Amino acid sequence: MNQYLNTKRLLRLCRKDYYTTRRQIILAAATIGAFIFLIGLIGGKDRPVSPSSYNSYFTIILYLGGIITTAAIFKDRHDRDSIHNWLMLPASTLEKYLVRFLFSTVGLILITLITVWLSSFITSLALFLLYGHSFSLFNFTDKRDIWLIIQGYLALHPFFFLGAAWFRKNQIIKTLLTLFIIQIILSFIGGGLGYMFLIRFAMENEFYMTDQTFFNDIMISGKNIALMARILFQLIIPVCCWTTAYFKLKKAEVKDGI
Amino acid sequence: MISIKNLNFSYDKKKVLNKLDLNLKKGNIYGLLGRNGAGKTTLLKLISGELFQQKGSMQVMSHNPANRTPSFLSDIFYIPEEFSLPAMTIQHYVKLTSPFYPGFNEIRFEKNLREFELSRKGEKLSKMSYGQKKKFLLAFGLAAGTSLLLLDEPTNGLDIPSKTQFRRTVASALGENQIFLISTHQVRDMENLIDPLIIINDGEICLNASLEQISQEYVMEQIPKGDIPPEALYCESVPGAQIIIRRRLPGDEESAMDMEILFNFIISTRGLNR
Repeated sequence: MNQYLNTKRLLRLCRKDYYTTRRQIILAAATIGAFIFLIGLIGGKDRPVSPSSYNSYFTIILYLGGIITTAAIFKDRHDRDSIHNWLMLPASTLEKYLVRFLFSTVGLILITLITVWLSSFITSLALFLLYGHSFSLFNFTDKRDIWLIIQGYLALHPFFFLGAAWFRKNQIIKTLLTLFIIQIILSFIGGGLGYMFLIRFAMENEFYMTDQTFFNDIMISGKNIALMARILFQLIIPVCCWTTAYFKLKKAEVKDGI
Repeated sequence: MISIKNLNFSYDKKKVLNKLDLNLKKGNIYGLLGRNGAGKTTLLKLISGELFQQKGSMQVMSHNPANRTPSFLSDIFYIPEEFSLPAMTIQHYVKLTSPFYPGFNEIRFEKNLREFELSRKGEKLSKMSYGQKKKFLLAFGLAAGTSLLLLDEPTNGLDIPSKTQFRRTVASALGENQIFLISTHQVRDMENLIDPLIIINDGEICLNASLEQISQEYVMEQIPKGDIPPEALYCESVPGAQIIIRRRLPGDEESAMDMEILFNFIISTRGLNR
């Protein structure tokens, strides 16, 4: 028996998690759907709801719903009564971790896509029947826009996923506060480095603001910095956060429950 | 099957277990007795891997419990004193949870449910009373077929008929390759069920012996109220009489042991004086 990752166990865990949470998922999706429908109905008397509005709904739901869901994804691991069930369920920490990871990423994105599309379909159908408007659906095949929104969510996910594993309660506030503090520290470090390298360089080399070659260099460096930032925020930091979250779960004990 | 050596455990600065040694063999229903705060629940949590030992070594069915590997977790079932159950019916719970336990016996589970007067298609688990939830977990745990079953205060919340049923069901469920470890401070509920006895006091094991071993060395006698005989190692008043514990002498017949008095004796003398 593989002690770390077994497909059968992983599927059993997925099934167990799905059955435990499906009622909440359906209820949340139905509420969101009803909200989109009502807004569409109220504002759709004169013209159909534009596909870009659905993109906005998708963004708001994915970001807001995603953050709230992800921050609470390990709720049972912090709860005094349910931590026992989490710890004693015969599956590896990696499997328990993967199920929650997949749900808060792929699962949530799919649920949001389906919810918004279904809502757009029902709204369009109602508007067609009521006012004869042409069908205007949420276009999730619009790869560029949708993919950018998903990318943004996936860049945020690791922070809240780690916060969910790390903090026992008020995970969203504590994660945001931690990010804010880290941002301030990084700003100070960035400012210090900027002063050390840029200002001192300018002073020592008798630099003038009209020096074109300097700005050309800055532009090239800027592109490199942007590339480095992308690698940092889309690869290194997420991987670090996800890995840390795993180890935090691995060393969970029953006394962590409050 | 369970081997613990020199185990230490503290909650922050409060020492709970101190240089604890313990060996448990299969085919027994062990009773883990001790005062409140003696460390019984902590010991169960360490054995199950819910807590990590700070010093010493532990082997539970050839596993280090702290690793919480799936093969270890599927061979152990632990019913804590306080627990939560999901908002689903027994039917659903069994469908979703039993596949994690390869030794789960559906027929045995049905039998246990009937004995505890529970129905598969009843109300949701979360809506049941504490006693019903406990009976369900006992029915499930006893059918899970795990090598180790840990029960923490299993009779808390059970009515009198259920306590009797509990004793009957547990006694009949034990297999020769299994260990049942029952932690309790309600020793009367466990009479005729637990043997050997483990008594834990101030974080140390002060007794790990079978009732037969104890009976070979000690006798318990009921005598009229009055002076305490000099050979009495322990004396406790009961209505209209007093019960003493003394060393068994050649020619003495084996006596029945009242577990509560025996427990008080062990605690007051901090172990058997062998």
